[in-house]
Amino acid sequence: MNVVETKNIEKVFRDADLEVCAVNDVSLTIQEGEFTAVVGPSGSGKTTLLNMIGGLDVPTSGSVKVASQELTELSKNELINFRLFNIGFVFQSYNLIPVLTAFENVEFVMLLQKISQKERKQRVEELLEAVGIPEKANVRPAQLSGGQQQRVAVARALAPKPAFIIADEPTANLDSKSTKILLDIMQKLNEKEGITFLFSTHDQRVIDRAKRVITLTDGKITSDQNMKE
Amino acid sequence: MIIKIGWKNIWRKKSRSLIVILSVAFGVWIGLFFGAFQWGTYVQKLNDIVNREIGHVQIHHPLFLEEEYDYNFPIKDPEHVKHVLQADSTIKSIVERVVFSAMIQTTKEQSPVLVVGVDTTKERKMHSISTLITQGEMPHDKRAPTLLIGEVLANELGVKLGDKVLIQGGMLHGMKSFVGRVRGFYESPNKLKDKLIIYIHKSDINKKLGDAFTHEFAITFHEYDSLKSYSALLQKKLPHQQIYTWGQIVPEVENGIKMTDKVMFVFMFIIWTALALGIVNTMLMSVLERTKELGVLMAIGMGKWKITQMIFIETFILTAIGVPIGIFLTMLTVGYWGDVGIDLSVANAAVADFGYSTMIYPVVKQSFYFQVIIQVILVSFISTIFPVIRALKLEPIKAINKL
Ligand SMILES: Nc1ncnc2c1ncn2[C@@H]1O[C@H](COP(=O)(O)OP(=O)(O)OP(=O)(O)O)[C@@H](O)[C@H]1O
Ligand SMILES: [Mg+2]
Repeated sequence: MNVVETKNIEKVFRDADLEVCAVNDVSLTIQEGEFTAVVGPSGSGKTTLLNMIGGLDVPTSGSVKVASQELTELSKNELINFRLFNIGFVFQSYNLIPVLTAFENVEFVMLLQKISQKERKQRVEELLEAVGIPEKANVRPAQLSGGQQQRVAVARALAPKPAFIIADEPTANLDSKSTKILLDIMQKLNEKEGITFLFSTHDQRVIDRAKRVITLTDGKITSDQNMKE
Repeated sequence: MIIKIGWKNIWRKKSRSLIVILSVAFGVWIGLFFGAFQWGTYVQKLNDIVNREIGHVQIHHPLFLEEEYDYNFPIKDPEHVKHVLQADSTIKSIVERVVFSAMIQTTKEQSPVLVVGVDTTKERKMHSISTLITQGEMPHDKRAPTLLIGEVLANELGVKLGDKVLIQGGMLHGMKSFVGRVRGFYESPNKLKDKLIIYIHKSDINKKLGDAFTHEFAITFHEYDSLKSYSALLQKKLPHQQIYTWGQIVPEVENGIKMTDKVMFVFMFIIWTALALGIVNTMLMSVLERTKELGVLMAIGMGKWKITQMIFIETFILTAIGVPIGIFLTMLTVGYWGDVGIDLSVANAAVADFGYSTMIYPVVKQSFYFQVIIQVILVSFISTIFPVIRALKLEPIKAINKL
């Protein structure tokens, strides 16, 4: 099943008279269970592409379908709600809510989804277990290392049972040890639970772990390889 | 959870939240205290001037006020009027007076006065002039009617106790004059009144001038709040007399009260504006500081309504903490000054001259609490609107990438 399907999407930024075509005629599909890296030099349009697929940004032209829903047809408010139920986000700088504990950070999205207290508790515990930090449940982000924060962020992204997880350079702020731990967790979730991951990266060690690598150059897909065959 | 986030956000910047809490508390306190002060003033005036002297309403000959309190315009058939009044169950007290404008003359000086002939035994219920006597007394005297005059007037005329003075009234429509003897001095908080009003026994003057005149019935009702409707009813029962409410008799007092109402309004408006600006500023800062966080919340699916709720809850919590503190301060201060009183004569000597009692005892009406709390809540909610709009305008991607 196609989780993501883009057709000829284009994103043009206009600053005064300067026009930048950040993403240029990109068509791609991501299927359930993929573990895909988007790579390319700085400024090649990775973030812009992921933002459009994640429903955070709107393409100048073209179509983006996520879980069979055409995103360009949704209003801003509908998009927020769509993201809540369908897309998990992991950000480069973790972006946990500082006043909430690890547990509450993971729980929060489910609360927005109006999931019952009992179910929330059970799922948060499962997820913290899955990312390997159950003992940090009642700790606030400030007291966690970057790697631990990013693991909470992955748990948070998984909490609403999204169709897939988008991660824009999730390891860019992590040391190599934390990077390895995080990738192990992501890979395990992908292989054991069939969770779909779409992430961008500069890091060769991360690229090496991807099952599929899409390369962007100046906003265009210049290569699309399946690695582990 | 949203409440929890709101609660926790508040304590991120403790000093900032404390400022808002204290501003709210201060606003509530100032509002209530000045409300209490104003109400205390009002109650005092009603007591001093209206309840004890003017009455809630007065009955006169229809032309009496127009003819400047001329002796020759007494109430027609006062016995009938008294009858009607006594039969009326809404009425608490009735006082019957001779009142007329006159000149008081000594061999050297003269001064315009208002002669008030009271029935001292009956008047006591309503009017306690006897408590104001500073020298002498007010005994009956068969030869020359006994007069009680203000100390201010006595000083001005150079009159001593026991002196005889000439009183001339009814200047325009048939002169009436007699000689009275000054037997006592009084002093009230109102210097203007002290200079103007001289008291006499009603029976003395009726005997002296040979007319059983009554110029004024001063009435108080059991329920002050129904004043307007009661006086209208009374007017229907007594079509040949003119009923005046106290505000018509002493417009300067009523205007004074209205004036303080206006001053209060302006004052409160300034207080609320200051509070509103404080809240707008604080909440805006708190929103801007959290730009990135709000962006993340929107990205992961927190809707506009929930964001709005979250920010409003923060203001609400701050207000909810501030209001009881303000009420506590009010109870403390009004409790203290309500007992001790605030002496205005120190602050403004002129106040005493215009018939305002100089001691004010602040009293909080129950409805004040309600009013001020509603106002504070309104102010804080209105001032949160702008920061909320600001937060809702954030675009997730831009907000997240900030800094
Ligand atoms: N909001 C914006 N306004 C104008 N131009 C933009 C905006 N966002 C991105 N761009 C431009 O679009 C192009 C692609 O940017 P993008 O951030 O997608 O690249 P990237 O591949 O993610 O780069 P990096 O590896 O540095 O994160 C760049 O030339 C960038 O300057
Ligand atoms: Mg990028």
